[in-house]
Formats: sequence, C-alpha cells, structure tokens
Amino acid sequence: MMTRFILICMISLNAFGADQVLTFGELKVIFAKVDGIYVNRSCKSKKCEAYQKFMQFSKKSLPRDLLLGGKNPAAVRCKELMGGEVIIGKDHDGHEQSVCQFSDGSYLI
Amino acid sequence: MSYIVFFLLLMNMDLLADCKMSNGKTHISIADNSEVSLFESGKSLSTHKTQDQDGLGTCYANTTSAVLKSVIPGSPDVSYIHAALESSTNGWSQNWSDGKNQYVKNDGSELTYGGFFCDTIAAIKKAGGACPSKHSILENKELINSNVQLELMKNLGTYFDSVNKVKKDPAKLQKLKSNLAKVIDSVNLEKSKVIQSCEAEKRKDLPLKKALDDAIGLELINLDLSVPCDKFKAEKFQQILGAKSIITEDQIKLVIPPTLESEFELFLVNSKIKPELSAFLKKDQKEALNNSAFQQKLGSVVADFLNSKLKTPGKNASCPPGSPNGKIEVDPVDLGTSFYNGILLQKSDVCSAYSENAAIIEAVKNSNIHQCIPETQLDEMLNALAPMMKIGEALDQSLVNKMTNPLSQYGGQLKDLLLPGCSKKENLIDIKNLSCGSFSMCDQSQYIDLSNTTYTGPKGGCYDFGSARAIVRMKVFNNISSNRALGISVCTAFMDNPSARTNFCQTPVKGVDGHSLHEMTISGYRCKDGKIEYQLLNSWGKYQGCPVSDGDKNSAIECSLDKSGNRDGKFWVKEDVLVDSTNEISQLVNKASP
Repeated sequence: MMTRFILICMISLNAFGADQVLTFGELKVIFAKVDGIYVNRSCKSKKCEAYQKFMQFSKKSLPRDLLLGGKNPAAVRCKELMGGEVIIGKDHDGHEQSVCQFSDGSYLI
Repeated sequence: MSYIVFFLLLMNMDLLADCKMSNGKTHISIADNSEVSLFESGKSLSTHKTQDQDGLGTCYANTTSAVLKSVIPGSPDVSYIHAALESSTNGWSQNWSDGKNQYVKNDGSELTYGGFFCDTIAAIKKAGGACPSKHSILENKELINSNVQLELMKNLGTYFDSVNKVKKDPAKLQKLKSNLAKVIDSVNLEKSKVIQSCEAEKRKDLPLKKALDDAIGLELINLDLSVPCDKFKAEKFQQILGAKSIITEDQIKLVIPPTLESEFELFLVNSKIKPELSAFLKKDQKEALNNSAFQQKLGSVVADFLNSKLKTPGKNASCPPGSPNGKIEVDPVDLGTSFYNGILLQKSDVCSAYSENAAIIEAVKNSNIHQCIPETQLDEMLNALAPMMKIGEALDQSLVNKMTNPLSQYGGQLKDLLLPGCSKKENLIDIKNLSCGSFSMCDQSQYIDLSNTTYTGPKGGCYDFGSARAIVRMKVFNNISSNRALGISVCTAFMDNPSARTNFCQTPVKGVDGHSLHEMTISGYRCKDGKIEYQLLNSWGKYQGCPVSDGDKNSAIECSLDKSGNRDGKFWVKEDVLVDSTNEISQLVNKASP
C-alpha cells in the first residue's frame, strides 16, 4: 500500500509539479512559472520572445470580431498581436492546452 | 460585553448560513461551503478531458460535446469538431435559400455567436447521431508531426470563420478554398508520415520502443541541468541516443536508435519479462494496475538496463561529493511506472495508436490503401488520395452553379477527412431521444428559430433579475442533480471586469476586452459564505480556461483547481454576476429516462 502511495505521489509530482510538461507529437516541452505566466524553462531569464511579447501585449485589447465564436483570447492574441503560432498540446492526463510558439523557439502558455 | 459576543455570533451564523431557494413548489437547501460537481468521481463528467478550442470559433460545439457526454448513457467522449461541422453545414441549411442566407436576425443584421446549443443538437440529430471523439483525427492529438496539427487547426479555424462570410465576400471564398486545400494537404502529409513511420518500424515491437522512450523521457524531465551530475547524465543520454535527439533544459525529443531498441527488447525477452508481460496483458487492466509488485519488477528491469547503458567507468569528476561514483542511478520505481504505463496502457505508441485509431484506419481504408504498406505501393496510395485534392475545384463548380448551400458538400468531404469513422452511421451515437431546450433571458422572437427549441423571454424586453435568477437556479439544480450538464451563453465582460453589468448582454460594456458572447458548460454549484456560485467548464485549455491571470483580481471568479493545486480549465463564478451576464441557458434531457 505504501509503495502504491509513493508511486501515486511520484506520478502526481511528475505531472503537476512546479514545472509543467506538455507533449506536442514527439516533442515534450517543460514549462516553468515566471512572474505568474508559464514559459519554457530556458526562458526563465526573461530574455526570450515569449516573455517579452507577453509583457508587451497581454493587456492590449482585442477587437470583438476576432473573438467571435468564443475563441480562446490567448490564442487569438498570440496569432494576431504577438506574431506567434498556436499549437495544442496535452498534459500527462490528456487535458488540452494551447501554447504560443515564437520564432526564437520559446513558448508561452 | 455579552451583547458584543451575541452580535458576533449572529454575524458568524449569517456568514455560515446555508443557501436556500424556492420557486414556490420546490425547496432546495445547500449547506454552506458544500459543493456539487459533475466532475466528482463516478459522475457524468468525471472522465471529461479539458478542451482547448484554440482559434476555432466552436464554443457552442465544445459545450455541446460536454453536455452530450453528461447526458448519453455511459458518458462517451463526443467529438466537438463533428458538432461544429454539422452545425456549420447542416444546422443552418434551411435558410440558405437566397442572398440573405447568413446567420441573420429578421432585420438582416448578423446574429451574434454563442447561443447555438440546441441548433447544434438539431444538426447532429439530422446527421444521424453524435460522433465519438475517438474518430476525430484532430481531437485525438495523436498526429506524429505537431506542425501538421498546427496547420490543421489554423486552416480549420479560418474555415469556420469563412463559413459565415462565404457568400458575402469573394475574397473570403477564395481563402476558404485555399484553406480547404491546405487542410487536405496537411492530412495527406500526416498519412504519408504514418506510412513511412510504420514502414520503418514494423519489424519492431513498438510498445517496447515507446516504453523505452517514455522511460528515458521521464528520467530526463526530472533532471535539473543546473546540477552537475544531472547535466552529466543528460549528456550521457544524448551521447547514447545520438544527434537526432534533442535534450535541452526545456525540450526533449527522443529518437531511440534501432540498436538500442533491439538490445532493450532482447534484454527483456532474455529476462523472461515478456511472457510475464503478455500474461498481464490478458488480464483486466484495473487488476494489473493494482499490482505494485509487478510494477516494481518492471521498473527494476528497465532501471538496470538503463544504468548498464549509462555506466561510466572510473570516477566522474563533475559529480559533487557524496553522489554516485562512476554510475548514474536511475530510479526503478519512477521508470517502472513509466514503463508500465507505456506498455500495459499502450499509450501514445506510434503504430499501435494508429492501429487503434479508427479515424486513421477509416481514412486509409477509404483511400483503398493499407497502413504500413511496402514502399512500392506508395504510388497507389497517392493516387487514391488524389481525388480529395479536387475539393477546391468542386467549390468553384458550386459557385458556378450557384448552389444554395455550397458548404453542405464540402462539409461532407471535410468530415471524411477529419472524422472518417463517422462517415458511417453505425459508428454514430443515437441521440434521437434527447430533447433540447434553450431558455432566453430576453425576447428572442426576432431571431430565426430553426429548431423551435428556444423559449424566449418576455415580448420586447427581458425578465426582471429575480425571475431570471430563479430560472437559472432551477434549471441548474434540476439538471445537475440528475447528472446532466447544461449549456450557458454569456457575454464575457465579467471575465475582465467583475463589476460590469450588462443586463443579460443587452448593454454594451466599454473598455472591456473582448466583450462578446461565449458558450460554456455549467458543471456544478456550491454554497460559499451563504451565496450560490456556479461551476463553469470553459474550452480554453487547462490554464486559460479560468480567465483570470495570476496577479489579477476578479472578485466574481475563483479558478477551479485540481488535486495538485493546478488550474483545471474550470472556474467558479458568483451567481448574481453570472445571471446578469446570461443570454440563455440550455438543457438536454433524455426522454427515454424515467
């Protein structure tokens, strides 16, 4: 029983620890929380496009037309304002999460 | 003094008051700080996976899929892509009769989005039933190439946008055509990659390959490359795996060399693990899941194998004092879990996933080809796929012929591509017995009502707030208590500004980002500090599903968290704020149920 408990804890820690892991096809990307947002782990220095574009555009309003159909505002902001590409990954349990991918290889949840 | 104590006690009693309500006939009491959610174990949404609609304007379809899951016996996962395609092609076809055939009000202005729940249900019924999401290429997210996924979503998003404008704007029509072609290109590219991959891998026992991939991947994810020994270990992995694999601080892409894979498999066979594994595979998975001894044994085998590969003779100078000397330890329990998941649960394996993926199989069958075909037959496959490339031409043709509903035929072809398993009616889930009803807070009689399922608000106006609140309450409590989720169409101003008041979306809110209609799912209710709150399931992914950024405050919203304290795509919202922002609420009832 104890072993099972440890195993469950380990699985949980791996899936939902401070760093988040999302899988995109063959690629696994590890995200770390920086100033309340998730960016890929090497972006912790805040020098990547993901962090800088977020700081620049996160509060900027989006035209209503772009959000029709209840689109994810973060996805629309990524494409329309930040110049990124949206890709959808899954976490360990199969829950979906879109992220914004930038030309310098950085990612923003 | 005693008065003060008595007063404080009274205050405290008030704070801890239960939530009580009545419509004159039914009386409900919810204990303070208690909650009811369909995500609780054993309830209808307990296995629901959070969706992210990305840039697709499909919120009504995402909600429809969640509500359908909660209502259909057995709670199957239902495709939202199917719901969206049916809604955008069949759902409105009755009105595609002349030049005005848009989503329109009677005054000719465009109908805003958000509240298409019952029309979507009607469209799904018309199609013959709901499509299980296992048939959806996009929703399975099992595509080998993430760029293909990206292209599909991007172009499909443009497709859904274009659906509404296709007759108004020739440039948009051209864009639709071009994006349809790109969607097809993307699918074809993926198919060819699958075939190439299967061709290369078919000699191997792929579950083992995937298990190894998972095992190493898990090991690497847990490394902290700023720690010398961990960095050394990562470098060793990189050395073993070769240049095609990527191992950096934040990205892991593993390409297992065939030699390593074969050796691994041979090792397992020689260790007599494989027969034992087979024995377990024949048993019920739940039984196997509970066998920790088996997991440990597997973990030890894999760990021993990896450690033998990573073993470095002599002392490693980069390791700090006290760390393992000359040998990199791999945790057997950690690896055992991964290995176990990789094999017994058969997750994510390239070819086996595709073998089980009816969507891909159907797509391949429809093209008269077979998976993992010899290279010599590749031409045959491409020839078989070629007709699909003519959809763009068909679109042109439809324009020439001035078809009343040009989308109906393309929608059908898109379905073949994206949901091939659901081209056959026997794969659809019958929903004939489901009865849909949308209850509007304001007069909706000016809207076209295709399905006669909208119960409009007062003529020429809206309900008073108290009546609207009573409607929402009773619908929510009645349905949630019967294990059924509901759809709710809201204007989104409250997500940015909790004090925004829109009078059931009748009043524009200035200065609020993206104040528009959005459909979500009501999945629970609770009583908090004597006030009712509702749980909303969004379709914007795990993190963005709760629309409040870290550091921002929104007194109306509390992000729902999973057991580990992470966001789970849902949020709680105060009743008064939600009701004020509600355009309509929809329920789906199984007429066959007692």
